[in-house]
Amino acid sequence: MTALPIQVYLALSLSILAIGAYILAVKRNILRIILGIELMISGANLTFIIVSYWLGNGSVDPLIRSIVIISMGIASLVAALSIALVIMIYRKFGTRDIRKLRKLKW
Amino acid sequence: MMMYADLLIWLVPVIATLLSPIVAKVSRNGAHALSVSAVGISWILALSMIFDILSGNVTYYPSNVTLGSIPFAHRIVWIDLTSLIGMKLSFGILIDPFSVFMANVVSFVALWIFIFSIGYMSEEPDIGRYWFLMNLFLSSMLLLVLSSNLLQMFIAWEMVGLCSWSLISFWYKSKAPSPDPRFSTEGEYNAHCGLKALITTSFADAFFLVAIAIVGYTTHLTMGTPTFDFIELSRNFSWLRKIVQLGIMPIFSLFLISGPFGKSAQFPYHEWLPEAMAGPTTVSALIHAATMVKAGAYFVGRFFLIIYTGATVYGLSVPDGVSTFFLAAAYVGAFTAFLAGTQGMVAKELKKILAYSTISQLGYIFAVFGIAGAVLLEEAFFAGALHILAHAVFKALLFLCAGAVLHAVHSKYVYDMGGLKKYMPVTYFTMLVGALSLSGVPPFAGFFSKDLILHAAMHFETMIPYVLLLVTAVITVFYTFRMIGLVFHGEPSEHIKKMNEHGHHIHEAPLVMRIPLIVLAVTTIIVGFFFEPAIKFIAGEHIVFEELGHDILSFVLEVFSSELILVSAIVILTGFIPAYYIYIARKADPTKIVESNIILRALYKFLVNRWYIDPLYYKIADGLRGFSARIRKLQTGYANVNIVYMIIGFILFLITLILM
Repeated sequence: MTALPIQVYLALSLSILAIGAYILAVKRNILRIILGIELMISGANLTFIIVSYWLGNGSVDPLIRSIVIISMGIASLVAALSIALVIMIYRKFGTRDIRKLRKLKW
Repeated sequence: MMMYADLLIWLVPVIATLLSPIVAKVSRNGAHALSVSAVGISWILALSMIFDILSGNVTYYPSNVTLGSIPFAHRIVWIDLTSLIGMKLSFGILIDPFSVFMANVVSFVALWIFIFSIGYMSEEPDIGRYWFLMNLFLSSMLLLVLSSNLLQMFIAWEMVGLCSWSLISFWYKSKAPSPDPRFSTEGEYNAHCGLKALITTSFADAFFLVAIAIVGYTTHLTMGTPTFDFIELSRNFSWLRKIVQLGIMPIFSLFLISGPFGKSAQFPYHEWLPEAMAGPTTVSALIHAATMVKAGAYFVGRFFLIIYTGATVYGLSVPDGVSTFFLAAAYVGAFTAFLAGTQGMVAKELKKILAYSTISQLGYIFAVFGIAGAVLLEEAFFAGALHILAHAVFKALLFLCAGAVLHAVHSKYVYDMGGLKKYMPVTYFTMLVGALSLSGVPPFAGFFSKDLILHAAMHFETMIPYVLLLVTAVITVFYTFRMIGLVFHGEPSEHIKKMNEHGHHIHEAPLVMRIPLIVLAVTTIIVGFFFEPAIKFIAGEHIVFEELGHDILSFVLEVFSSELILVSAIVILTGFIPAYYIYIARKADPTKIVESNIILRALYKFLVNRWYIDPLYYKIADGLRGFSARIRKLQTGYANVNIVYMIIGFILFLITLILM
């Protein structure tokens, strides 16, 4: 694990975050957007682990580890809930295109 | 001496507020009975407080709370923020003659308006919402007048505003054609009127809140802890001196008076009140007579008491700048009285005539309170307080009569009425009593209070308010008798003839509506004679019941023997004769007179357009709306675009964080 400097790992997690943000900004399909959110959460979790590993000189702080595990659990919950919402939206409006869902803008 | 009277007086209507929607689901009569009995209890408690104050012995609690002399405030710590910002917010009930006086006015007038509502709202399906809002309105107003500190008063103040908003737009579902071409249905128009009231008063209140914050800040600087308590503020004027020292006294005064100006519909915030007629007439009566618009006048009176008590009881020297507040009240009040009076002369709707007269009469109250504060004249303060009482009674009476008329005629335009005298004799005579009182004819209540106001106005530094108020008095007589003439005298209009042909005969109001009219009319006649004891009560003097008759007699003799009675007579005749000639005897056609003269025609157009102030406000509002419509294009509604904005914002935030 000592082979590469920390910047490389941080760049990896940042790029995961950036890809997630790109998906959020560009894609129309709600399912893809949910995937984008999941990707961003993964990027954040990865950053936590990397920084903790770097600070702890090779060992990850158990607190951080548990936080990340909880975060992953919540992320899966968010995914499940959003997919349920997507199903409801699809049944009600017959579309998965987020640009067509702008009822608040009358 | 009733236990917990100071809390129960406003808590009983709160309980009725919470219960009435539920009770209304079960039984309409149950909801009526609940609300009327709640306000009845409030009135009895308010009455008992008068005797508590007269006996000088206030004990509302078991022995552990010993309460001293009047004025006293019962305070409890409401929110303790000592550890955070070093202050405690207290919740308190202030018992002093002025607050008890106001509580009596409010609850008495509200009682008869509530009873009238039983008849007036008999066909209303949504009675639960109606009673919920009316009870909440009443309890907020009682809480407002009994508040012991500014912050608590402000909360009640906003609650009053909120209730008025929802009550004005009460019939928001109505599908009838709109009286205003800008809206498609009457319901939309009503909702617009309610919103207009809310926005105007809230705009004024924003300044008021800033002024309250300044009070908190300066008391924090001088006394160590922020305090809003009326009694504390009057004990120590260091906060006022601090404001002067900071050089913000003029701004502070104008901000502080802005709230009352908005609430009491004084210039430049007066435009909401004529539109507030969209609600049920009982609501208009409550807004005009007891609850909403009297709040502003009450605050000016309360602020006068703070200054006056400090100056006389505690012997403090009043800083010079304070008079800005009162000078603004005096001049703006007198000007508003004139402004609204002139508009009342040409109004076409019955309730709008009354609305303009309310603005005008409130102008009198503001002017006299302003004079009271500017020259520290106690008599002027009494005159204002008594005009609050007199106006509350006769304006409630006039509005309820108008309600009875509208109920019978099914039209709100005065030109659709006429000749109602023979159909509705009780309404006619009670409304005549109200009209005589409004125009200041002796010996009705309005005469005494108007006389006292004009008397006090002569002590002011300039004669501008006096002259304006005198001219307004003439105008008042004119438009009052124009209203009476158009509604009750002359030939029945086409509308009424048509109604009679279709079998809708004009009928007198039912008994439950007539009784409040008669009670209020009798009160209007007799209350004027009790002004001398009322003055003694507000002044905190001792009243000897055996000398009551003597007091009344000497007061009446004094008023009738002063030279002002001549002025009054001239004023009444100047206004009455043209009104009688044109509108009651119908000897001349007003439209022809106006048409024939170019100056009169221009004047008429100017007045009908409300001095072009209302159109100007709409222009400003439309301009702002156009600006917002352009800004709104930024909001595309696309989730993707919003995310892009979010990311940009986040990056900007990060950049600032790094740069700092």
